[in-house]
Amino acid sequence: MSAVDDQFDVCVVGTGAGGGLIAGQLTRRGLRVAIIERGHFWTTKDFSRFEVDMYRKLWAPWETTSNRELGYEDEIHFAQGRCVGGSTTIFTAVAHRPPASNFEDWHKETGVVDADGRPFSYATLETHYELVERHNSVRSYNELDPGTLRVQMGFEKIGLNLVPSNAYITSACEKSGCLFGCPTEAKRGTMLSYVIPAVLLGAELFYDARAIRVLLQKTSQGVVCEGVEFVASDGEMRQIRAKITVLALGSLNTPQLLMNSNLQAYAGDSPSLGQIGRNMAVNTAKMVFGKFDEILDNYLVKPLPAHCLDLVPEGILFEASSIMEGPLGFALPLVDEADRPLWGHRHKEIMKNYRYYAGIFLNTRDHNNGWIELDEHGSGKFFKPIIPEDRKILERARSVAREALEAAGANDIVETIYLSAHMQGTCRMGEDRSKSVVNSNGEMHDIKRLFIGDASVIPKVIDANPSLTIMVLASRLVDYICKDREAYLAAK
Amino acid sequence: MTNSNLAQSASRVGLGNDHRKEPPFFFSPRDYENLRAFAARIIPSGSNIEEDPGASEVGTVNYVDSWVLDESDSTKADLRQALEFVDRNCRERFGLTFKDLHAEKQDDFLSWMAVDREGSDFFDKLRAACIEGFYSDYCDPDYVGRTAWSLVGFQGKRISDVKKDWSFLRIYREKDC
Repeated sequence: MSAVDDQFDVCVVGTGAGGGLIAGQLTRRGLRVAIIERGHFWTTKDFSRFEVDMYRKLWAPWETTSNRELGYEDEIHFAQGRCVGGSTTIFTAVAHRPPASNFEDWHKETGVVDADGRPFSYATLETHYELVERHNSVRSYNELDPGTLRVQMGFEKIGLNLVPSNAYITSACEKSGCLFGCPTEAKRGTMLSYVIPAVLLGAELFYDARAIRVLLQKTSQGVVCEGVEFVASDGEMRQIRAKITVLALGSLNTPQLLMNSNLQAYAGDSPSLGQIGRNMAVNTAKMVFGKFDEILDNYLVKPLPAHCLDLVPEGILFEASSIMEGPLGFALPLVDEADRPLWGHRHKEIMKNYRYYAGIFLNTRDHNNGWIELDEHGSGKFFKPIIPEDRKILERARSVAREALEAAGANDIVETIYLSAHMQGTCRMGEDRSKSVVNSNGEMHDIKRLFIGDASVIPKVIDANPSLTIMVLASRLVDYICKDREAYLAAK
Repeated sequence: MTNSNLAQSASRVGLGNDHRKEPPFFFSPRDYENLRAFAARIIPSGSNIEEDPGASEVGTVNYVDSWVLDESDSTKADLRQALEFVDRNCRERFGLTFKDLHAEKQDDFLSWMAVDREGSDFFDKLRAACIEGFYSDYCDPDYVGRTAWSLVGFQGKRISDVKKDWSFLRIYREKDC
């Protein structure tokens, strides 16, 4: 085992929406940053429309809940990026600012406060939203494609509005497969906006590297984090020592790293450590596809350029249109009327009509009732039962989506499995130690110098597409660390 | 021991069929033939196979057989157990292994397996592997004819001219040797 260097100010694990921004912004502010990323450093020239190759290179293998072990019928399937930029390299680039009402319950849930000790609110984040939107070329995506216009007409007929949403996309967009990495750099994400600039400014990036555990030390000030142990790309076990460690592996992996780090041996049992991996929400989602009479070629578009906010008060946010931008992504998740995977002649007929489909992505504001456990090998198992309250929202969303597609003229409708790319809440922030893992500044209650900078910290589920909010929370964390940087950097 | 027995016992202990230059590289001959038949029901061929090819024509079974070599031990074990499940249950019900059943009986069996408490997970894994093989646009190195992208009409800018690098599959690496 070898230490890489003990002079780093900060070690950031993960380069997605949270980690990528934190690494980039702390480097810009003059800190010496080491970055650990599980995936490979693929860049723009690697991003082709060879779908299966891009899934293999840029996406983590899908994770699935183990709800059936508990007697529940439905599983939910989780998508994540595994590459520099994390999920922001492969996302649909929806830059969603949640309505202020999303934040109203945060303080009630965990007692989370702003820098002045007042209840946390949308106002706490507003300047960060503006900053992050500027960094990432956020704009309203007005060039709606024929499939989206079709679906929009359907929504209109049933009295709902589908309007352009914001996207992290410059006007140079060539509609070439967001899910497989943008080949023109029109789509922004943390790789372009933060990680590459950080590397150019001297940050050290360890990719193809797997974090194993955080390094802890008992001191007179309490338990302190001193860095991270990881398996480097050459297979060697190595350590990075840093004054500050930020975990941003995503809501599924950050709690697993903590659970595998033997925290209780240092910090004892505490209510806060018991909260690690709990309170997971995922925006349980589904796609509903309609087949139309005319060719739409809905794979040659920017996916999900428009949304319908009318049912947000009911916990439903619709986005349209997309057909997963490739035949493989479309074929795999299709299900029959009984929600079982489709196959055979019916499946093939749908596929042969691929060019005629357009789709609605339905996001639900589900409950924070999921959790993560480790199995005997230290790997994560995920539980997110679809409870009756969530089922009610999902059924309502499904029926409205089908109604909209029928009103738009769809002559066949097919749905997908339950899926999500919006996992959140597994290490919440707050002041109530029995309900949160990190404090209002993102630092762990029980371990000094150990911060969490991803969607894990979201105290209560937001309505849809959390990437912008994750970046915004990360931006706030950067401000906090920089404000107190001398205190953190001076101490041994 | 016959060659096929050797191959079977080698794959049972996880060695794969390392000495071979042609598929099956991973599966036993029995599992390989059952998987070929399974794929043909998941992605059936049309009545005009030139117009409407399915898994049989393009060789989807060979995609799965090569792809699985680089997958995790648990994925390997899952697919083997899934094909054992198919073989065992077909023999119990029909006295024949899956590939020897008529297409209609095969479909009946799959409809049962897809909702069976023990079988459904196995079904989902085999189905996903076959669908990935076919809709990735895979075809065997010597196949000349229509493939999935043409069948579904996936084409246009940055798609029609994409260079498909299949070198992650052993069947293509052997071909290049």
